[in-house]
Amino acid sequence: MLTDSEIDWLKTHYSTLKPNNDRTELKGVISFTGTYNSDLNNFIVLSDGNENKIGGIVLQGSYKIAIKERKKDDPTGLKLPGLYLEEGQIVFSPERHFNVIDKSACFCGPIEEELYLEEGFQIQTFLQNLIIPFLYEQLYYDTYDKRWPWGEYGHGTTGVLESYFKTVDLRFIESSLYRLKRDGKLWPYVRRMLLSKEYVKGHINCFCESGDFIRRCHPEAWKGINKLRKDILELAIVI
Amino acid sequence: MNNIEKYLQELLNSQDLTTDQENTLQAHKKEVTDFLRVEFGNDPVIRYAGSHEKGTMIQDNFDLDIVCYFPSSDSRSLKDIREDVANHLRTKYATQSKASAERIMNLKDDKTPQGYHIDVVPGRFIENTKDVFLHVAYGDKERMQTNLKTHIDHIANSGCVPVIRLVKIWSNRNNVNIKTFVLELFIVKILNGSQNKDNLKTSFVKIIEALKDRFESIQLDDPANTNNIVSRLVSTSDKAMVVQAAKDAFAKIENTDRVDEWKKVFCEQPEKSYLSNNPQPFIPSRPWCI
Repeated sequence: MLTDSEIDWLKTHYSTLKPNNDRTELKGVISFTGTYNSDLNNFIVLSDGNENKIGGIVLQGSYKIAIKERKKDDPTGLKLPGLYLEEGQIVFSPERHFNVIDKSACFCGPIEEELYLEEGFQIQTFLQNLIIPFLYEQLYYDTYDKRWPWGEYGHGTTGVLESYFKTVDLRFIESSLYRLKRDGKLWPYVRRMLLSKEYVKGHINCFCESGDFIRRCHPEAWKGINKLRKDILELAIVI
Repeated sequence: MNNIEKYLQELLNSQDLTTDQENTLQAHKKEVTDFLRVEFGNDPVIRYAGSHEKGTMIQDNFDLDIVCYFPSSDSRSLKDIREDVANHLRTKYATQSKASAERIMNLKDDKTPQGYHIDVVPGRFIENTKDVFLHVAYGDKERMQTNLKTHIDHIANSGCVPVIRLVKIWSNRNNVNIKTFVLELFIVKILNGSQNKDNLKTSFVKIIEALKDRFESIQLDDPANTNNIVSRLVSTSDKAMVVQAAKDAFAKIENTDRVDEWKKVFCEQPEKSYLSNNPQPFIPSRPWCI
């Protein structure tokens, strides 16, 4: 997981995070200062006197964490290293974006994970662009009346579809379908929508079984379904 | 050997499959073959196809192609043969149906690249020939006549294998969406008669220039069946994307002997430095939950 130069960088900038002998795990306290400006929808880590170029709400935090490389057959199906917090700091629940399989954090959507991995794993960007923003969000959630500063994806299938709606890239079709199938329970219903001969109308019942219209209940997921349906047709993918 | 030629040769060498990867392919081929034989016995001819047989595999991105051809005496329709193979594979693997192949998505390991899959192509021999009919799931015709050996010989004996591998590296790293078989036929046609096929730099520049100038209009025929116009499988928008990518690449390498410019074409950059710590603002990712 870590190269020599990354170990050196950690010693300088996050010296309280220690790697294990085979460099597959980092453990210790991470302290950070970060700021988020909702008008710009921009986040930045403020460290070592780094200038605050964006204003926004500055929060400072400190958590005991472990970051562990995942095996190929990891039961979560996630590929990026897992972020685990020591018990007692946060309730590990799906509402706080911790999965129930191994209690690791779900700090980004499925397509964001793919995009990040395409660039190649680097501990610096992993910490500063994914881990610290996630911890900042947790702090913000506790400080500001249980609100997520830059929103959240719905759980499971909903989040996959919302994430797909945001991408313009056809190459994520297969990984998105893999994720949707993996979710199991909702797949037959979503599959029917994807196979529909026409655009999925907004006044049908939502796949989440709330009884509400899909366009009101999960509007971004609804748009994601229609986008995925169109892309599947265009590429003649059999599902 | 000049510095560009040396760089290209080293790039090709770095793309040879490792012994572990080759062993993985063999193990996968054996597993799928054995699994097919459980259902279909010794009737079908099951063998490697695709880049493995043509010698055009690259480490960046490879997959496994296996043909499963039933004897001409098999009385089932092509569609039934296809469905029988598909149904059997589905009892063990996660599969997707492609135009003429059943794609196994979940037989992979840590030696295989991202997106690795195994295509199983069912077919039936035509009596007294090595030609086969394949079932085609969508498109104008329901069946296609072709010949695997003719395909392999056409590419493997063309003298173009090294430059085909180079162009595959380029297209893969630049996300240029182009079917491998189309690319192979294009390269063989463009370099037909060339005395410089062994010169990687000259050949690569010639191919990139031809992609830029001729790819949109050229007709590429299946060497096993000239009724199959393979170039028709490429959409107008995909052709335009290839042409644009080739223009970009050609502008970088047309008149230069600078290795760093060539490296850019193959998306190779110096190792990133971790000495600085100057984070920039960015749009953060929303949290999810599996």
